[in-house]
Amino acid sequence: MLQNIVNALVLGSSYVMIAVGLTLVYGILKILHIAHAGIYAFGALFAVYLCEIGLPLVFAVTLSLILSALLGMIIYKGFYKHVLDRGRIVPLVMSVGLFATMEDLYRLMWGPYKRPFDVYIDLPDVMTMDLYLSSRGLLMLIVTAVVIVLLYLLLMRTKLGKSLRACSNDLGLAGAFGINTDRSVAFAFLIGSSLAALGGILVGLYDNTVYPTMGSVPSYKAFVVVVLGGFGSIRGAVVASYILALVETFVVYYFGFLLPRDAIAFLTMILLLMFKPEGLFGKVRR
Amino acid sequence: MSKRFGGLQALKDVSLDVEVGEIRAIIGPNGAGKTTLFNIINGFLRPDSGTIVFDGKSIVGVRPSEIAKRGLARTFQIVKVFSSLSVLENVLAGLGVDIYPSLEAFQRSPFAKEYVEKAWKIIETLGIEKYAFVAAGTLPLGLQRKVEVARALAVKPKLLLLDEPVSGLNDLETQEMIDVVKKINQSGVTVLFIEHDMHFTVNIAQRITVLDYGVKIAEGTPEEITKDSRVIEAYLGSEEVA
Amino acid sequence: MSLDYFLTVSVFSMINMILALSLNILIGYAGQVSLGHAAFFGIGAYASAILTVKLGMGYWPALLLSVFISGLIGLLLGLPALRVREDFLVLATIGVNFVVVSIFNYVKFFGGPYGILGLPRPSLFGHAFTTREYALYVFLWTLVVVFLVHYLSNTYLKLGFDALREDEDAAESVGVSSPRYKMYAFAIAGLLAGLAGNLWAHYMTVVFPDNFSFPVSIGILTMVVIGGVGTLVGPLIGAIIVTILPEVLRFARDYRMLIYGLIIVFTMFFMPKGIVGSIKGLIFGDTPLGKKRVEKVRRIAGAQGRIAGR
Ligand SMILES: Nc1ncnc2c1ncn2[C@@H]1O[C@H](COP(=O)(O)OP(=O)(O)OP(=O)(O)O)[C@@H](O)[C@H]1O
Ligand SMILES: [Mg+2]
Repeated sequence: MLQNIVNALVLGSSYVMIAVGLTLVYGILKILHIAHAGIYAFGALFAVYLCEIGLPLVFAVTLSLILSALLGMIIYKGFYKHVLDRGRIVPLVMSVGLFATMEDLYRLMWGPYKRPFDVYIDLPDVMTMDLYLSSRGLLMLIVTAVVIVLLYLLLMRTKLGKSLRACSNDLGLAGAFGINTDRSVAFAFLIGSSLAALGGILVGLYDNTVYPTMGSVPSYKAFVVVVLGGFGSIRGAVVASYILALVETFVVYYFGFLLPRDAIAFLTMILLLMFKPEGLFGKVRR
Repeated sequence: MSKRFGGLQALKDVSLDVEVGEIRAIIGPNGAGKTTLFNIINGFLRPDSGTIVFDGKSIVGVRPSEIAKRGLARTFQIVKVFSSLSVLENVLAGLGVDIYPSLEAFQRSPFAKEYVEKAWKIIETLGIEKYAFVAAGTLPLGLQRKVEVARALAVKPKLLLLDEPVSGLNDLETQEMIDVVKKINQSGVTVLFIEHDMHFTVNIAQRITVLDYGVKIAEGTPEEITKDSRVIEAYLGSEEVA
Repeated sequence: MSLDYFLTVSVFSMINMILALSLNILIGYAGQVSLGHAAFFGIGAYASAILTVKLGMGYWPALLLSVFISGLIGLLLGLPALRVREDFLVLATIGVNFVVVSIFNYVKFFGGPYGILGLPRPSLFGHAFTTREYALYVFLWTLVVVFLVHYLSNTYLKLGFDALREDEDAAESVGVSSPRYKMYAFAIAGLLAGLAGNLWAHYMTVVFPDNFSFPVSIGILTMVVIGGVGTLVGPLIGAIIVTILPEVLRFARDYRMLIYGLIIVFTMFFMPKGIVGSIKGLIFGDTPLGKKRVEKVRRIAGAQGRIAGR
């Protein structure tokens, strides 16, 4: 029982990291930012690469986060920004194209294989009678907790956070009130992308594997979270991440299931989109 | 009928009786529930309570497309033309009202002579021949409102709902719309419209119904309404002081 | 270049044409952005594989039944479209693709990761089709489909789709029942993709789950997008390009997804209307109506004017 809950917390934490970026971007631009998955994978792959060429973990991670943030920014400034006024199909299709390009680039650069994330983490393994949590799992929980707190402070306490929330409410209106929306959006991409990369790194550490297509499934699942969380609400997304993880873990554990757990998540999403399209915590909109 | 959105009572026991052949206006301050009333009449929203009888039959719970088929057409406050289609196709789309639900949709071409002829007549009624082949979404607002009226006319309505048909139009365009609506009415179509523009309203409405905070506060001829103290108060109490 | 190689590439091109036309009906006509089209394709292929290999049915009845099943499941998978807010349909359909492939992969009945082998080639009067004959057979089907889609493009069905795509509320207000038209779109798309699946499966004579995974959906989307969303000729050209490009650029074979991706991104960037849409725009200007139609309408309107005595 306890073990399941802890497993679910770890899994949920990985969803949080990806879902925040997706939620921010969807909340503000109303774009399904599928290429976000590419950044998640990039973060992990690049960090592993840096470690492999001998950089210490902390440097590798920092560098990878910075580069991922820039990558996110480039995706916004270089691509989305220019097609926002072309209806909803164009940015969406573009995002799919970007994602396909990124994944394949990683495969070409780093090979299609799974690679281990071989580093030493200076944390103890948690091992009791009925619980095992590796040091890497512990790291994931700690980092996520810190991130959630920082994110909360950022959004609620800083001027930047306020303008972000204003943009998310109504981009046009925020602009009319003199908020520099372009800068806010770019900032959303910076934060979202570095968190996604961090998520990729943490998951890569936890599973001790990274590979080019590692982003696909988690990020589609993160969309499940965005939906559950009520589209655009960060708090909703965080709560939804853990709910989804708990449901997945317990359904698989207690009922077993014909299909892999990812399929459960997708089925949940489809049903949810159909029967509770405003999400679990969302406002009713027409 | 009544309608509530969460905690907001958008319409409270509003009752409306539009007679065949009349032109009726609905006025009221912003957020009074006028558009909501239209959305309920044409089936986009379901009333929480109450009935709507159109042409002798209840239309509560009937799909909007089916209601259209029974002869009720509308335009939208925020224009909703089929942007990338030509004006002609917008009108042709309206002419398909009886065809869509049947298998004929798989057989009939909208560009068959009979439809094009009908569509062209409607386009001439609105005086927008010049723009027939232009993408509707590229036209200025005044023309888009006309396209919406043309499309609604193509539905062969018995009752036509117009949601703020002249908002955003200049004086000339407003005058043209007055003429068009009168012409439509003379051809036997009952018209129910929402409008803030008093010039337009007083000019063509035979009767006016006033809504405020979801409640009907007055009803009568234009002369009666412009003198009614409750109406004046409702308007003075809002930002609509004009 | 050997004949067999040429035939294979042609068969793939034609099957892709059918797929692209099918997806175009959803995206380009009805405005229902589906990213799980490979699932429909797979359902046609697997249905036929199971009917012929596991149930020992002959090719022809299996063809009918598999296409019918695909249409039916297309209808079923279209159900989310009735409820889901439009941009989230994409997510739902990605989900559908994923779930369908998982089912192929994890349910024993569908053969698991090793797929189903030994599908028969169709035969007529006791003579099994050779590769050459099969290519001709696929060609005939492609003609039928192109003709069918062309015919439908000229009906009120298409105008109903157009209305739905442009504005759902406005469409309802002129009598287009949006659930009914969405279901039409999904059913037609399902039927066509199912046919493509059948043709593909019996050409390859094997089916594996991976043949229908999400990247395949992206491939189909690429065809529609580069050719020109919503046009008739566009998806056909797109299908040919996407099929032939990796063959022409043999050295670049390993870069297939990369090339797809870049093509998608840059098409969206520089010519969101695709090749055919952009060329049309260049030649005829931005008229939504074709030149022929404008002339026809002018003729009719002109005649009418004279009758009215102007
Ligand atoms: N779908 C909806 N969900 C929630 N609230 C709604 C919805 N539609 C309208 N409302 C609310 O109901 C009230 C009445 O709105 P309505 O659009 O009917 O006003 P109106 O009289 O047409 O105003 P206006 O003159 O500005 O067009 C408003 O407060 C509006 O915010
Ligand atoms: Mg209104």
